[in-house]
Amino acid sequence: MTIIARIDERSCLAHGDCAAVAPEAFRVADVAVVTGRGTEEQLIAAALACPAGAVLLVDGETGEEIDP
Amino acid sequence: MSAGLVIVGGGLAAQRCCEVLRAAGDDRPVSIVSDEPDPPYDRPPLSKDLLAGGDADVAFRSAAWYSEQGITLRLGRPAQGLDAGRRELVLDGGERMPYDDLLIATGARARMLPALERFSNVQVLRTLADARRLGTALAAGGPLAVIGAGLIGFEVAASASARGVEVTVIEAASRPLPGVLGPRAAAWLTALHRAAGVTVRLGTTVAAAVGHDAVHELRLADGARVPCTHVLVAVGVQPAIAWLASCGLQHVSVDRAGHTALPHVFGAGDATGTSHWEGAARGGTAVARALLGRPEAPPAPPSFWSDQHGVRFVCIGDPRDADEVPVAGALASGSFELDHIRDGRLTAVLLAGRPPSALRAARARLTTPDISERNAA
Repeated sequence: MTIIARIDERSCLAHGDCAAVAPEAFRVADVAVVTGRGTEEQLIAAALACPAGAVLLVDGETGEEIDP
Repeated sequence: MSAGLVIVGGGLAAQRCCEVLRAAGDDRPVSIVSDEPDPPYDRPPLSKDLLAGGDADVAFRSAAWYSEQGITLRLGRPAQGLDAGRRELVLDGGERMPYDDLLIATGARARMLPALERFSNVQVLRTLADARRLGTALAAGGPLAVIGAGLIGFEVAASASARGVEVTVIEAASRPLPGVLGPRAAAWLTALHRAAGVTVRLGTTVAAAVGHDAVHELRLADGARVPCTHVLVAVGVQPAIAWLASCGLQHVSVDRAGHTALPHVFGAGDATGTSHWEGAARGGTAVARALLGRPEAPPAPPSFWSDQHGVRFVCIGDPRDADEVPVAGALASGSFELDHIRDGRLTAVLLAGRPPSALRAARARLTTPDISERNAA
């Protein structure tokens, strides 16, 4: 299963935790942006680290949301 | 050349405002004038990671970023006054800085208890310097006495006990986070601390402090004696706006776009009376949007989060004066959601140990214009 990360921009307040935990996958300026692929572990950690719950993880094949 | 934007205060609201302006391609001159010696940094780690030992980097950006972005940092320069008529900021020493627009973002000052002020081992926690001092005290061992079971007091208690320091928290109210958490959540949180070995003394105050230069024992109104080598006073904050007294401003009231009553003067963050990270982040962003001529972001409920003893809890909305209704999980398990109902309306959701989807769902349930507006400070 491929995990893909997306940012819920309404929830994102640029806390920056996602980029701190998975610097290859996220960049944060005024909002967070997905810039690449991190490891599955990193993406899960980023989703758990965000205080706003703004990092969504989806199954690359089905598009369904995954709970980290 | 225009005077540009002058931001008084170099914290989160200042940083957010700069980030949004520059990300939008706006290249007006920006100056950040701060009384602190450090470039803008994030405060939440001061009561968490930074106290775990070692020196975490809390700065938002490298020092080079500011010069690369055309943002002038004037550090260690307290503001002394504001001449709104001439559009000048007055610094200590009398220097006047002209501005096209000014953002008041001086944050808040932590309150000290007058009776304890004279002791050498009593402190508040607000700045990086405070956090370093507290970290050094924790490294020397304890016991630590914390006065005030608010978010800061409880986060420090959790961080200190995690590194083996004996901690006693003293709170005047009958439960922690008084006026914020309801009885169910407060009882859960108290139990979390006690299970980790923190002594929590509720419904009592400090009656006397024993010591000469340093206090070595606090005597409480309930008769208990609390030995200590260091004391943290965490009884709350007040907006740091004394420097605006000569303007006649006792409060910095802002609308949702950050405008104050003074033309070309904005406000954001704790200086305006908000008290959480999200308030300052949204406030700084709102001012940038106003300066860019963009419409306001849709209203959103206030929120805060806290990390204590390995548990993260998030509160979305205003939880005060409401009935707590469990809607998911179980308090005993450390994973739960509590709805807060006031006058028949959902005003807040408190979530602990819940997945991100639960946070988003709770925010969606709370984000309707009339509820958010009512909760706006």
